[in-house]
Amino acid sequence: MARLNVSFLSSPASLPDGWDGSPGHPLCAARPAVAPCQCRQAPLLAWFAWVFVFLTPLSLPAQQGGRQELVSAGKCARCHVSSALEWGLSKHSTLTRSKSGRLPNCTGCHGESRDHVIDEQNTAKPDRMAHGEAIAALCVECHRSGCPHTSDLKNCQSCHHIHALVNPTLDAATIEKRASDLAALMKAYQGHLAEGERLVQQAQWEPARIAFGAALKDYPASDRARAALAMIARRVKPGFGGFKIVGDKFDSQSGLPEEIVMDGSGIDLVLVPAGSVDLGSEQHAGSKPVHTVNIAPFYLARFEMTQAQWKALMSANPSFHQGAKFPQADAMPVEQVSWEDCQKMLAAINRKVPGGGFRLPNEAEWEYAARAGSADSNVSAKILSVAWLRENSRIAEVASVAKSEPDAGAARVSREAANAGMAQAFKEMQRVEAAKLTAPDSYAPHPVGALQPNAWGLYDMFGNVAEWCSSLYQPYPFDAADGRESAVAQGARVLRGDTYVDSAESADLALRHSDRPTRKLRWNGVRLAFSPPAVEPPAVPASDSPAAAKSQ
Amino acid sequence: MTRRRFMQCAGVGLAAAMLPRSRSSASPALTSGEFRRGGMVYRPLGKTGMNVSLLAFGSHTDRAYKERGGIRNVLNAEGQARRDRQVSLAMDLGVNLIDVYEHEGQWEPLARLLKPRRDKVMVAGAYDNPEFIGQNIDRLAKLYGGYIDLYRIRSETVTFDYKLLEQWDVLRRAKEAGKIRAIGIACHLEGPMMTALQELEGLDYLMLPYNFIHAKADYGQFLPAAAERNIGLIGMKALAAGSIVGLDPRVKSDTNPENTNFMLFNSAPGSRAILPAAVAELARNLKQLPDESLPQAAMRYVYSKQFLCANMVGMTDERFVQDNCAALTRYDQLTRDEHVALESARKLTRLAGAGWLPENYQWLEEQWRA
Repeated sequence: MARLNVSFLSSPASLPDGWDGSPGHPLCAARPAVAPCQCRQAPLLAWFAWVFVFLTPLSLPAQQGGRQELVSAGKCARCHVSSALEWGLSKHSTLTRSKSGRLPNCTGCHGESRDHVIDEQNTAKPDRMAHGEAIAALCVECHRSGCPHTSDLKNCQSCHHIHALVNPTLDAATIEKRASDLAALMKAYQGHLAEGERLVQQAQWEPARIAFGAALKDYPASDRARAALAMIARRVKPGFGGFKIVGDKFDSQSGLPEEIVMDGSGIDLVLVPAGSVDLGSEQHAGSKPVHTVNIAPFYLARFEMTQAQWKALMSANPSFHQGAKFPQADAMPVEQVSWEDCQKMLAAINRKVPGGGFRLPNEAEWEYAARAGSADSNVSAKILSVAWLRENSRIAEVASVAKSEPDAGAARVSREAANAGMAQAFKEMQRVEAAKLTAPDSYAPHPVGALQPNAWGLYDMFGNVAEWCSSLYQPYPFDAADGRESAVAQGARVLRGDTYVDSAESADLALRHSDRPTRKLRWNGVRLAFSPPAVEPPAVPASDSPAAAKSQ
Repeated sequence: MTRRRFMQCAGVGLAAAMLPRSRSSASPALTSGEFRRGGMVYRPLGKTGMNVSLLAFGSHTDRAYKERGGIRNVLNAEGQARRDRQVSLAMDLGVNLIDVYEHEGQWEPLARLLKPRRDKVMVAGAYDNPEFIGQNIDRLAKLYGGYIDLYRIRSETVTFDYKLLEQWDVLRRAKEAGKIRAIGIACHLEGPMMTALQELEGLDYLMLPYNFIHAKADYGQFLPAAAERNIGLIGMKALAAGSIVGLDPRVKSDTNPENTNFMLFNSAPGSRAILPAAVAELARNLKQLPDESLPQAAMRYVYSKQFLCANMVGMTDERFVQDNCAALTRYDQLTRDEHVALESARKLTRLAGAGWLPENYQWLEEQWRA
């Protein structure tokens, strides 16, 4: 058996728990509960796996620069990172179709496994889990004539690793040479990356661009180098026509300015950085199951859209709360707007911006921004310092009538009336109650931005008015690609965030709500989202690279 | 008995025992999802996953025990004790849906009574107050352990205005937040029923007036549309505000229907006997039901309607609770004699005009007579 030069893996700290650096199969050895890997290409696998692991750190989320196989493995890679990497070593990962019509990817062999995917408790097994001879049976579904090397129909796994189907017939010398070449290439790649990052720190954009370009040339599949080049392109030429960039703070990952203001309108947009959010809550039936969604960077308006902003765009104000009774109406959020009204407004505002880009946030984006990095969706602790809810949204005129707490007062008089026959007192109380609680006119939204913002500087994400989202209301898990973001599909659209008539007791950012796209209620408003302008993708130099070796 | 006569009787008995049990046997045939515990029958409430008793306890209180001064449901000590006993008896007999609609004076006593059995009893509330609906829901939920099981709004207009749609939105939000388990609407007119099915997202149940005289909902497109959407239907006014009780000559005069003047057999001063021929016909037909009162037959009529998940009846006496539950222990299909008796009661009320109902219930006659 060929012994590989793995000296570059010299730092024990860089090894996974459970692997002592011996030339075994690290991905099997890292799992002590599993029997030691007996596959023949184990040393080779050890090498290849760690080359790829080093080339692209696993900490990078798949959608924003992770390895291609992690992207291709989709949801499965969220938990089965090792298996996805192993599969990435095989030729299977590069196929777009197979002889049997079934793709040799996770779902192709294990089935759709929907229950398993959404099962946070990990009690539901995948639809299909082949063991022993059943593995060969699975292989034969495509490789009908058996193994191309031995014509064996029964023992595929004795030579081929179950996921990483590296060609076992390569001789040791070839493997050794490839390993040496790849090690050198990897060193160069890492050097270029480090150099690029150093130059970025010094804001030397052109030299940094050249360094990252060299890294991309070393390893054309490197999403990290690609993302760095995109970031530099943004820093050099932001491309925000129609906007003014506020301040000099830029997101280090994307290169996007952290705040922009639309020229003329004063619409202030805050960058919501890329990241992931555990969407939903186990507390509410409509918000189950909790699941992770990755979010690309986007802009979200710092404030809910005001009546003045709507009027400027649409030449009309549909809001219920306006007129002499509400002297600050212009600064209050626009309400009584339907989802369809919002689409018309978006068309109007996008005509004013080169390339458009204004839209409604989808519900995952909304919840991600509302949580602002907090894992807990329940915000009741300090809710009234950040949200206008029923408890602090009583209209002043009515509030002056009501000095006592209505619930306690009604209960007290009710008891007295029942026990001591104080009917007259109760009638009087009823009259007062009726006067101060004429629903729902007793409550009104407040001017935007009057309370504290959340951690990302967004005001009124919770309370005041509920905000229309672009998404159709469909059961979780959220998947933007499953049709729920269709602008033309029929169905209820999502509204997020509590309103000024909701109680603080039940405040929870994970609560989902919806309504017909044509319905206009006086507590439904809108907050603008904006997609940053795309940058030209960096050119990928064609050359031999580690990626080219993965199909071996 | 002669030996021959004995053999004839035994032969008939044996043959009867060998025949399959007919639907007129003592054990009612249960429909899909329906089940029986003790003497009570339970049916699923639409798509909510809740099983409600076929007899539900309505919210109306006995006027004779109300505090003077116009408070709607504040009862004096005796009246409250009576009501507590009625509700307790109903729960003992298997009633698991208690309405607390008329809340002034009754929310707290009922909460005290229901709290120990909160996991076995469902509380239904309704909005009929100048108070903001969200506040109303929160107050009710606080009293009943953090949530209420059923909550409804009410509409009497065919087209829903923005105020009703806003109320509905608040209900939906409360349900999403876990304060309400099922949300519904009470329609006292036929027109809003179809509108409710079409306009109200997430509608779980709908309440409609239904009794053997006012059975208009048997017709039209409403029932198939409700069934298609799996909406739970709860009947109300099964005894037409007690007026059906007053049609039975054997019912005592102290049963306190709301329209005592039109108790056809009431001997109290001021009552008037009307339509002697129709009354005599009804009396004659009721004699064919020796073990059953007209109200019980009326209850059995609504019980026999499979599209109704529950029937919410105001009960102001323990005897009414027992009678209404007892009607459930009989076979589920009405007999010919019961049909005849109910038909003669229908005929009598038709001849009597709307006056057989109290003034504030004459809309029943105008809107719902079949």
